[in-house]
Amino acid sequence: MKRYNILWTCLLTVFLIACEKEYKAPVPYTRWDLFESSSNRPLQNSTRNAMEGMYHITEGSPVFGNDVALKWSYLANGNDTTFYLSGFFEKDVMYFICEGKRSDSTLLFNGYWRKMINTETGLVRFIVHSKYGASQLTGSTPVIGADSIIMDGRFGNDGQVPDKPLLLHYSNPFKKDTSFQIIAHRCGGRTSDLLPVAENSIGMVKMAARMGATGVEMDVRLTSDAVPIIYHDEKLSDRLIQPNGMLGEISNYSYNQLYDLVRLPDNERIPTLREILETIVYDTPLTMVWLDIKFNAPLQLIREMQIEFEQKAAANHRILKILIGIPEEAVRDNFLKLEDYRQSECVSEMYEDVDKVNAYAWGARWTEGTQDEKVQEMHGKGKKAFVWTIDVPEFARQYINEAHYDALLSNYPSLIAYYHYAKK
Amino acid sequence: MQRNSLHIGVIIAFLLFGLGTAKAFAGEKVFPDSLNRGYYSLLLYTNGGFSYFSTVPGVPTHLQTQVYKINPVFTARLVWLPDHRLSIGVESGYTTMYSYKLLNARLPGELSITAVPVLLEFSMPVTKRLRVFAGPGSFFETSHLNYEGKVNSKMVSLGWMAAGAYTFLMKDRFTLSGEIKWLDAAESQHAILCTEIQLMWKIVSW
Repeated sequence: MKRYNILWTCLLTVFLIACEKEYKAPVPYTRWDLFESSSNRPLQNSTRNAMEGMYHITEGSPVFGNDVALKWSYLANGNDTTFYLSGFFEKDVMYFICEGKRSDSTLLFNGYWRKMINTETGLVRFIVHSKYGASQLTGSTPVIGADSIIMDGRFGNDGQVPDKPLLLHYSNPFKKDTSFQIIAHRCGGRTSDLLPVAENSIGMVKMAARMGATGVEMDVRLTSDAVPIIYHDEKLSDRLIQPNGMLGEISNYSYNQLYDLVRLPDNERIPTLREILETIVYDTPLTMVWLDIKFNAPLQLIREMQIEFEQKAAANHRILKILIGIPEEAVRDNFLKLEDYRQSECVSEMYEDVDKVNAYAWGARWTEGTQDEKVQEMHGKGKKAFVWTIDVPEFARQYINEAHYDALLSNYPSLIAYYHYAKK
Repeated sequence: MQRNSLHIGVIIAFLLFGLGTAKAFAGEKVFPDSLNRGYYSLLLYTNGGFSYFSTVPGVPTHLQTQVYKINPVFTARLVWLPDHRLSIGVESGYTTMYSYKLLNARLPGELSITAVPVLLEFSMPVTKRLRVFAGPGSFFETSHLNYEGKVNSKMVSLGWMAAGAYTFLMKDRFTLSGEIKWLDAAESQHAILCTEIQLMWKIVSW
């Protein structure tokens, strides 16, 4: 009898430990009645611009760390533009995303926070009272100095009403360095990091600036009927799409087959390069696109889109640089077959080919170190030096503060943004 | 979680089946072939039956589909029976994992996934009539899409199998058995539970 008890206990234990937990980090429902009041008004550009900068955290630092970089971004939808205030923290690779409004003499901010090292998330709300910066920020020419803005906040976990204090004191403005690029990998982040939108999607590209990115990297592949699409893996994978029985290489399938039958985890379709570039040009503030070419075929169509969308961006009064990424010899050879390849801006990941392809930038692998001499050599030639893909906080800090790269590629653009804006 | 529970459930079912049968046949001599010192055989098992797709089938959830989970399965196994209880062999075969028809897509269409398992197997008798099989291997899977043209696209998935066969007829060099088998292409998360009739032929003994 005793033997059978042991057997059943063992079987039950095996049964229970075999159940794997499903991890999720859903964006909490952010409705706040005070914020939604119809009498509230949008914030002015001058208010938003004056608010940007580094803030000390005087309450809430055990959770959020000692300081935060606050940066505005926008998402356009036709004539309707939504502005977002993002907070980038060093601690636990945290960020928050809020919308802002003006209510009488106070400013209100409502949104959510997320830790990227785990699934913790929750609501966050701020009020800037009149005497703690609101009256100054809403003036025609705000004059902002240390401690002139105090954001009186509350945060909570998951969907709970925020009740824990989070107090931010304005510290200093960002240093003026608009040339440095924070390039978000896979259009903004990875599906495996449980972001609310899928990697390499229209939704992710729309979110990238809110996550701190100034540019995006994306993976370009061809369908069987030669339509450039954005997808990371060589094969259709349950990791990146909703399982639908279609197996094998994505290049085996036509655009219509993928369009009709395949959905990303957030129910979006796999986007075409054209759809993504349209979104970037007309809806986002992103200023750089790195097209990681993952096929071995002529690049003429990609080159034509590069020209077309840079022209569209210019016509839309937008600064946008679209770079063709050259990760390997086969792509380089196809690039060199372009009639006007010397006019086509590209990123060569192969140091020795930078001159040959007349690259705009060299894409260095971060594991090779800061490579100061090679970076200086590039700068001496009037070229840029980018480095990919840095996700570890210690290395992100080192590469921002000690190296001389012109752009960092990361799956955690909020972390790179923090170190960049916090740099003295 | 649902899928893992199902797998563990199948493993437990096999264990309990084995234990229960072993208890029922306690005192009965085990399969004599396995204990004849210096006596070796080569056995060929041919199986045919039906499979039930036992994990969640991947279908386009934004479309209506008709899913077919029960399909014919054919397998063959070559086993070297040594003079001790543990045998070793290889198994292969052909089956359709599952298939579906698109009901409200822009165009009519269908998809099926077929698999050719190639498995290394270990086998031993539990009683005179009950033999268990288990082993790792690969599943060469092909998805056959017929929608705006035909696409046959392949992948290889690592996986494993476990089976129990009960012999109800023995004659000369042949046995006739019923087999319940779990084929699990773990990497692609495709698994089938098979119910088969098994014909075993002792090809050669030495």
